[in-house]
Amino acid sequence: MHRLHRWTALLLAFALFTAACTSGGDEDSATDGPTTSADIGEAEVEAAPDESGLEIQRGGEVTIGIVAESTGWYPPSAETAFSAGFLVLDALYDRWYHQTGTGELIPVLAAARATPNDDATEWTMTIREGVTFHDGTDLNADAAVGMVEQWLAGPFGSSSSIDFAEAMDEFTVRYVLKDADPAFEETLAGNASGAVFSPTAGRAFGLDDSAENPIGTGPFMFESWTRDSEMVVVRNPNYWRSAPDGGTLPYLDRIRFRVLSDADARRASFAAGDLDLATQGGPEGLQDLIDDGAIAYEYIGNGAGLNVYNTFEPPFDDVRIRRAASHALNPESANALSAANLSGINVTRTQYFNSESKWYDEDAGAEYATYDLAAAQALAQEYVNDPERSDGKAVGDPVTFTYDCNTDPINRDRAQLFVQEWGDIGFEVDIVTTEQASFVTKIVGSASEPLFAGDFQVACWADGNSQDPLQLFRTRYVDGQVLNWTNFHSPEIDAQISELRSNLDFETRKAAAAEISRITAEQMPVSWWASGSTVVITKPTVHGLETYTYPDGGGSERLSGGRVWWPEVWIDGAEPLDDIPTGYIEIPDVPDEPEEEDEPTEDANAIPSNPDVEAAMPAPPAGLTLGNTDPALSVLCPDISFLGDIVPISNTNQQFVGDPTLGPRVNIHIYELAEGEADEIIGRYDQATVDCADFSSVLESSGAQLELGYVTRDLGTWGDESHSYGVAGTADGFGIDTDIVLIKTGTNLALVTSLHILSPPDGLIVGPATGAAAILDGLG
Amino acid sequence: MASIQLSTVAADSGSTAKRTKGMGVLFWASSVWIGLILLAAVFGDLLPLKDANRINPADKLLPIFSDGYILGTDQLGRDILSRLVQGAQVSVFISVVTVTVGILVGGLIGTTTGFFGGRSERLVMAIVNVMLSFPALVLLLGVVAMVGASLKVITLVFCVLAIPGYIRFARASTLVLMKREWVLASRMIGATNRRLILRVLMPDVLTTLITFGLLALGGVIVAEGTIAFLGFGIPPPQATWGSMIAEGKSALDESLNLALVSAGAMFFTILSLNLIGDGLRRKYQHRDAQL
Repeated sequence: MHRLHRWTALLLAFALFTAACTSGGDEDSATDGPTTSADIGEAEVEAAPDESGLEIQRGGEVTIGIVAESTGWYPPSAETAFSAGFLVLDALYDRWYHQTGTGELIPVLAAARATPNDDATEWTMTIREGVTFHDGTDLNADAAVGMVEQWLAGPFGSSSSIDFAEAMDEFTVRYVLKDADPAFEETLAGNASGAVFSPTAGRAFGLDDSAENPIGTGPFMFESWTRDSEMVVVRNPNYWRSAPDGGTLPYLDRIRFRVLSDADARRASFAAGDLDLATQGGPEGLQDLIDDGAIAYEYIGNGAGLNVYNTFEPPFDDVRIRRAASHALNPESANALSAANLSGINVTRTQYFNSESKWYDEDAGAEYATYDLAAAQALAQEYVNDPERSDGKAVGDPVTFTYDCNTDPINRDRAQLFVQEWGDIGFEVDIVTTEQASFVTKIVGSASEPLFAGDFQVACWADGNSQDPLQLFRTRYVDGQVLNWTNFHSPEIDAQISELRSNLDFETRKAAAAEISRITAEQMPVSWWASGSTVVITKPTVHGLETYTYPDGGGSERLSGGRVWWPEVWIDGAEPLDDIPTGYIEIPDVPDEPEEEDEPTEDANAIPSNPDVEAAMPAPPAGLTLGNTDPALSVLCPDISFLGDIVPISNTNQQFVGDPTLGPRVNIHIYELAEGEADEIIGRYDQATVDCADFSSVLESSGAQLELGYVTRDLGTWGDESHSYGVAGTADGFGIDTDIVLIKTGTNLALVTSLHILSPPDGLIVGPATGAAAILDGLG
Repeated sequence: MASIQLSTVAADSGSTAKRTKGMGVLFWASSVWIGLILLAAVFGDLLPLKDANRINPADKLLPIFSDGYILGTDQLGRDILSRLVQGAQVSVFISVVTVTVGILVGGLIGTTTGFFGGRSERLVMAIVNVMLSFPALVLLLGVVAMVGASLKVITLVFCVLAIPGYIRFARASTLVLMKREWVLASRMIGATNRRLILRVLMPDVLTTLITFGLLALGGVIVAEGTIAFLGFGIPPPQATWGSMIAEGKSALDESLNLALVSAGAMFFTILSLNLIGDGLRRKYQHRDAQL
């Protein structure tokens, strides 16, 4: 089970990575969850043909060649998040909101924008009336609540930002979040997280079978799926939207999604006429087809390739080398290797957001290490001549490292160019290429120590999207996060993330995001390549690819990331097909009434906080800031009930972020508490590989009947003796991880505190003894 | 069987003079080509060629006979001729080392086991059969995935994969030779086992193995090309013929010559090796038949 979680984490990372690892490679721009990539300067992108005078024809089918597909089509299962699969999801599911390229949110299945409470921990949303799912059930507040339950029960439940949802009336739902999230609506606009699926069908099929039985409200319904070959969807005869001319939507009767993973094969199939549309990772080889009349829709997304520096690994733990390595790369040379796109736009990035994003900050990129050979050489020399250089080599020895990448041809070409450019400033670099799956594992790292550090020095990667900066930065630049590939984090960034979390005001949040962009431009944990592009190429007979009328009027814009607005696509000479269903999809009976299960879940979540204890928690020591708050134990392990009379200090873990080289720890140790004796560990809970079943079984197997003896415990033994229960520590026995006291009686469990101190700077010993004593006093 | 052999002898004995004089134009043309490749591989570093790894995006994908680039440039603007020579070094190194190791180690083990027979022979042959039945490409990709690709690793794996074939071949030859008159004679006059294996059997076994090895050289070059084409070969920027073909395939729309030149070099080399091997085999076969 631990392994399963590691894999889901990897899948998440993989989903984010997929693409573009190739910027110019094969896939759509990297996206996950609430994402819409802005199209840079749409006006500059090759204009779409004028279709205004054409008469729309209904019926017919199209076949589209796609790069890859998902391992399932049910939004709560993580595998759905693969980017090429979004194109399929777009046909099956509508989202609550659509986020435009400029970040504006358009209500789709929601009736209006959601409203937050004062601190953005609760959001209330009204739902559009009169919409039915493909299985005939109604879309209403109960369905929305059911969807949240399905999400939380799924493999990504623990990473969901939603604590629970409740129906206020038939068409109003309130989402209660685990933490303040001013950008929560973006979650409801996400490709997968915002996809509206039938919870009734989800329950009827179960988590596994739902992957092959997707039921949404979208313009097309599921017909058949041959894994890794073809996914077929048919027109939804009961689609809730009508066409601008008052007729029915969608126009097409059937879409076939054909998986052709090789770009050349896809292009050849298109050229041979087997495909009506094809997605391509870039413009390579398309000119001949365009000359023959094919139409290319190009999407210059927010996704881009980049080099990620592992800041845990010398020499990249030194900002001089990170900057030197970035200064050495000439984007002109890289761009010359492969034309970035059809329109010839090469946008050199300096930050996570592209110039069209509302979060983009002009000044933030000023510190960015752009191409400057002299600066690169100077910094490299300074490092090489530094007697204290971090790689431990003698003064004057050349800097050596390896550059990791996957086996994609364009990436290999680019890698060779980088190696040459680094060679010009005296770096000796080896290229290591690894096939995709192993490569991702290698870069992401594992749930062992140090947490998700990865096994590389510098690697090719892909990232960048227009997520809200809170969603983005808390996963990228916070210690121990799966998606923090660079392992870069700092107290200043943590402080800005807190600003992002606790403010609703756009200007304040934008300033915080800009500050993070500035810090990262100065520290250079990553260096960007130019933005890539994706292309959808179509036969001239296919129309309506970028016509999209918003449900409440307005609209019509190109969708991002090489995706297509399916409802309004039509083809010349279409004839209605005669084998299109006219009714709903039948689903098996639901095995259990779901209503019963709701209440205990809510009870378990309703952990009161104890103000006395909270006040007694030690403040962060000087030089340390409060780190992230991970999902609460109660959320991760909802089966465990907490003792009524011992109130946990908080339902989150508290981390102080310290020295990045020492690595993160998020452990909970369960001790049998007995006076005067050494603590016996009876259970251990490692949040990085959390598994509630294991956690519970550890408790069961220990068989310990615990006394509430916490007051007798001295939790303050540190130094040489502490290693017996301080798992992480420096070589001289200095503990860098405090203990968490869990008190157990029978199956009841009380989390007394969850103070983590990752590592105080400068050898400062933080006094958990006083802290713990104060906490326990507070409990008393 | 006997009649076929007789007719061969009869046909050959009538034209011995013609045969030695005329190994055929193809044989000599092939020998010249292989000689060129060998020279390029051995003295490549001394030739006044451009740096094979210097990337020059401004000059990418130049056609053949371009100014300064006789064979044009690849997708990174590197000189194809220089890379062809660098690729020849890899091909020659891998194939010669693999075949030499295969012949010597495999030949020795095969001859010894064939000579002694018994339980050790059954054991060795069981191992050989297991190794031969294991898909070579899978093993190769597995090893490369674990320890990373490099010239040494790939050569080592090729050697390990090559040895069983030579063992089997050497053993079969030994079993045949053991019945021949001069071997029996040596035995009768009291030659030691060591002398029998090393001085009596091995020379004949080796001759057969070498002709087999000449043909196998081509196989090794193709195998290296295959894994390089799949992207699991020697890491860039080192040029190999296989990786050049792979790079040429991606650039096929824009330029034919990268794929054509590298594939052509590989094609002619393997064809030449086969023709030479064929010629030599024919020659040895005849000598054998006349004995």
